[in-house]
Amino acid sequence: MVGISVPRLDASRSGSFFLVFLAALLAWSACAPVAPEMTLERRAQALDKSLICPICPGETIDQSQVALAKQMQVAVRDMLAEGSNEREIQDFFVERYGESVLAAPRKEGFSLMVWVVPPLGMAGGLVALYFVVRAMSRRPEQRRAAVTEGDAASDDPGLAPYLEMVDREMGDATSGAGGGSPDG
Amino acid sequence: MAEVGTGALLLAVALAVYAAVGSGLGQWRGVPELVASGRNATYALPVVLGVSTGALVAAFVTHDFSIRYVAAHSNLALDPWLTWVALYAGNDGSLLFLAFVFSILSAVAVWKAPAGVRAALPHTTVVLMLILLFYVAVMLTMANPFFQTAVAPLDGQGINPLLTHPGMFLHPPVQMAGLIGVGVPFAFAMGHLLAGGTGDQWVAVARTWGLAVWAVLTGGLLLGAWWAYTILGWGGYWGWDPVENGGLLPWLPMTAFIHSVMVQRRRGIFRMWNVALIILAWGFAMYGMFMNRGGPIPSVHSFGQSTMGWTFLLFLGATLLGAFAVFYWRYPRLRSDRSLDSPLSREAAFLLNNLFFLLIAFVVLWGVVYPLVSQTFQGVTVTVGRPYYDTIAGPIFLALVVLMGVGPLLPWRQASWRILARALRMPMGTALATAVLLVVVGLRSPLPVLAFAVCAMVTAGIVREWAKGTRVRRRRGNESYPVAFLRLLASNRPRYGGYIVHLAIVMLAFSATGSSFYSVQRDFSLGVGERATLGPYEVEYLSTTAVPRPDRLERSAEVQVYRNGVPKGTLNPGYVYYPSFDMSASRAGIRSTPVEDLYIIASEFGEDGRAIFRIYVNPLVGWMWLSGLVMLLGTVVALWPERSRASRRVERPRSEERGVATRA
Repeated sequence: MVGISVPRLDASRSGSFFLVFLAALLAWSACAPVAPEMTLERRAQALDKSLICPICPGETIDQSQVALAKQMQVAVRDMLAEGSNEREIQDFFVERYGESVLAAPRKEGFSLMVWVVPPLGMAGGLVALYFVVRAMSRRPEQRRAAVTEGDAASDDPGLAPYLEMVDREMGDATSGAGGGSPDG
Repeated sequence: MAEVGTGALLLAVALAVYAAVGSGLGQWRGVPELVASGRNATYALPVVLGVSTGALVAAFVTHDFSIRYVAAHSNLALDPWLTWVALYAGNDGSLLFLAFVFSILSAVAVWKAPAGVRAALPHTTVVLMLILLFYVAVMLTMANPFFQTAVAPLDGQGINPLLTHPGMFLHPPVQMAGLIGVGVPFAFAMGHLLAGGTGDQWVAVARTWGLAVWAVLTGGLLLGAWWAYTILGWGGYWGWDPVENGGLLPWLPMTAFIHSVMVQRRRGIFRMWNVALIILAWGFAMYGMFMNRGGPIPSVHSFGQSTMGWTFLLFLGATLLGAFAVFYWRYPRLRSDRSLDSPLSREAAFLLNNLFFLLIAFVVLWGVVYPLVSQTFQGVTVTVGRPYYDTIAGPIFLALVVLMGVGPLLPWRQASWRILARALRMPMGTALATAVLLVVVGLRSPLPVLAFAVCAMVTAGIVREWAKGTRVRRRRGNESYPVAFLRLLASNRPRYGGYIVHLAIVMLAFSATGSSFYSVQRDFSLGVGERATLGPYEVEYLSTTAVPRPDRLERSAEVQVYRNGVPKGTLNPGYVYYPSFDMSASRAGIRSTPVEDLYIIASEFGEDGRAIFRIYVNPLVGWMWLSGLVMLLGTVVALWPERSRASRRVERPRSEERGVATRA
């Protein structure tokens, strides 16, 4: 980005360009396969990371250095070689060591709560933010006052001409001190 | 030594009580001499607690094993340079460290308090001293580091081997200083509310302390990640472990705070919000310190198991209750008369930023709390670990990085979609080009490509701002490009320091994306002379050595590394075994390049030298440690005092106040 003059592009066009790009990326995220092909070892490593070593606090069998973790890793590989799937292998360890052997609870039953509460909180937060912004914005007489008062521009009078020039270059007369706000 | 140490602690209690009572009573009764005397007492506290800390150091150096703490955390074989680590290796000593650091911070906070907060200083002092008092009192009643046993053992037990690592010289003290440091901006906020201020006078000092504490907290987290990476031997740096989460939790509202406090400084809004954020941050900081002290959840990081956690929990509860009571009492004074001009403005972007940070805090807290919920209602013990945090918190972090690219481009007060679209055109173009390039090069998973594209977008936005400013300066002032650039940075340090920190965050995101999506690993059983291949690397096992030391056995392998057939030097992965602890600590062999780390762990050496090697190729990890340095640089730039303009800068919020008053 060293071009001297910035050619003007129709704002609505670049805006829609941006949206199309975003949509394309998201669509790709949604439909692309998660992983091309999982070899047996890669599946085993994924399983290692999903199982907690029962005797070491908070470490997966992939992380842990103790003998039990190594034995569990061997068991995982044996069961995979015999054709067991991920679910069966996890069930096998849950039966022996309890639910806490799973690195994260399953998305079912009571445990669904773990996964559902954060998105709900997120939705709630966004709704709350919407109302806060609306409530804070709804004071037209003050807004007019604020606009007439103008902005204190920069604290550095010497910099003001530069900032003006920056703003002019951006073709952005309304942004006022946007380019030179002291708290950035 | 023990008598000196305990005596100093008792004196510290007396001084802290005197400082609190003197400041409070003097202010209430209008006796300036008493207030001044109380203030002087805060200056004496670092000296007194320094004497106490010095006494403990002396006890370690002279091997005074009659002191229980010294016997438990050192032995005759202890390297003298490890005394520094032994000082905070256990519960009792770490409390002394916290109290000592906090007394220094308090003294500096009181001494350096700018004119704007002088009126509320006695109240602030009371809050500071109450916090300090809690730590010293807990130490004296429950964990006196100078407690003496009747019969001194001949030798001590020695230090926890996991702590004998260079990372441990810095990570715990920096982390602890960061956590306790949150107490200073908290005390300023509380003091201000108690004194009846509107909350605008404390923002300048809160910004300074907030930024400084934030930088220390960030440094503590990164140093902890580095320590975990080199010693825990699982090839990763962050495990979403309960203690790590305890360090991350206060960092989140602190980050939100240092952003939204700028809005208050500039626009006089978000007054209540900022107070609520700093209360929250201090609550989480106390929680972090509590987690480290034998909390209810097991962790690899907690040192010093004890029941003291519950005392901390009680203090935490009481503090939050008190703080929010004061908040509620002073709520009417905090109402700001100004408002948001537009939902599309930098102020609104800051609000969204705060929401995201608090959401991550909520996600982390929920992950920590859920096992207790499940235990209570279902009677089932569960683990909430990495898969949960990666799935839920990962996307919010990504959204924050996007916001980091968009927010600074928005003007204050009011923007239009036109302006935003124009400002975003170049960054978005860069992002698109990056994404296309990555796909062409062969990356196929969409999430990392999206993350890399976002990193490119933010970087492009920052570079664009810098390039534009530099160009304008150069043309106007006939300066050469480097001079123009440096003068541009110097012209508005808070702003450009902030950009440097943002660049560091981009590096962090870049590194985290690369290492979480593209790390590969493989286990090999190798005899001497055998080779293993992983990706572009080939590793040849040359030899093994075992070095017995007084307190430990060092076992390591020497391996020759080849990349695409070209020799790249040797590494010495291995482990150190400590018989007295029956504990071993791995020492990874790491070859770091800007592109990727080759990371090797060796274990289970047999009689014939055959050993198990776990080899990782971790892309981009080195950028994470570099980002820490850049972040430090950015913070220093942002905080660097400005001589001539400092006074005018403080004036501004008040002139805005006047503007409001005349209109009303």
